[in-house]
Amino acid sequence: MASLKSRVPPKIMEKDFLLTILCPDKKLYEGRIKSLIVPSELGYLGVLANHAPLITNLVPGKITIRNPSDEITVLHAHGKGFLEVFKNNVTLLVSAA
Amino acid sequence: MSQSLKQIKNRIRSIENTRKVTSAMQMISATKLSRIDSYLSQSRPYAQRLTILLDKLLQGRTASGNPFLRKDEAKGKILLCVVTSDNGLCGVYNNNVIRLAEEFISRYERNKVKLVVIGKKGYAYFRNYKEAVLHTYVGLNGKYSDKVSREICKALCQAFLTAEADEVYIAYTRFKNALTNKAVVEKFLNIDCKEAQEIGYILEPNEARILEELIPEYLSAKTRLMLLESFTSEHASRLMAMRTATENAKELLTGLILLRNKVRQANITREIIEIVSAAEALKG
Repeated sequence: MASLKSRVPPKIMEKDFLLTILCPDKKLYEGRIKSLIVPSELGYLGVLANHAPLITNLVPGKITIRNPSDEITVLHAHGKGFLEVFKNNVTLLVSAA
Repeated sequence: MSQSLKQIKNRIRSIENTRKVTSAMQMISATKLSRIDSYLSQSRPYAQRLTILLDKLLQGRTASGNPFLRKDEAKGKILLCVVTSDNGLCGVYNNNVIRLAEEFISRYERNKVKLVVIGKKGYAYFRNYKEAVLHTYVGLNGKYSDKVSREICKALCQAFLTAEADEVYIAYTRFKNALTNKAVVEKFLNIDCKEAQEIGYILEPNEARILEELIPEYLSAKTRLMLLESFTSEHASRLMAMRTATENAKELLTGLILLRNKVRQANITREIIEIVSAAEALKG
């Protein structure tokens, strides 16, 4: 019981995180969201709040965004891209969308 | 009066015409500037994030097989890319960047520096370097196009990869705001690895693969940004130059119009005096 308790982090976990999607010529999206699904090179990859730091490259495909009020936005990436996750701050760089 | 009325009128007319031309050019530059400026400010974040990402990946790493990370201890051949404008009438814009490039070149042995020149003005200036000029791109006229940007990026990378150059630098004008811009020389290749501790990212699929994708994208974003910065600066400098020219023309005009009125008045007075004195003579 005691060991289980210690696993709960002391601070309240955030449920959402900041997403920024950048294209070479514009900012496509910026806002707090609940979940994100991106086409990484090894397959589709889901990101939730408090994800571990991660850098990966993306292939063309669907980017699915779920915002805090559970609305889903789907964007299509046509070119190469990169995803960086760092402390609830997610940056998506796509060369064409 | 030293000048006749006709001469003054002619001068006024010609200055009036010049003023019209410069103010038209000023307006054209203003619209072009506002368009490309918004484009530039929207393009900056992408390139900046990409640079940050690359920096993070390269922290404390040694060259890991990627051709762009090749490290040459013996600094030898240099490639310099100079970005100038195609048209004149933009103040000191071209002079600044060319002077900086000259200064840069003079630091190295002349036969070791190769050039890639963008813009007619730069081409005209560097023509006497002859075989040192590898490529020239003219006819852009301050209009950005993705195609040309890609071509330039490819040419620069090619020169580096085929060991034609050990280091690639770019001389361009960085845009700060409509009043200030600064000519700078920046390193394009090779990419230096920075010394710092890791933050501990998960890299997927692996570092080499990510770098393989990231570096070309980074380079093309950088080329794009430098072209946009230069063109924005060009339009801003032209706008400033034309505004000054228009103001000068206005000043000249007010002076000349005053002079014209004085001369005309003097002529009238003289004629009246002539008529009066003639009438007096007839009377007497």
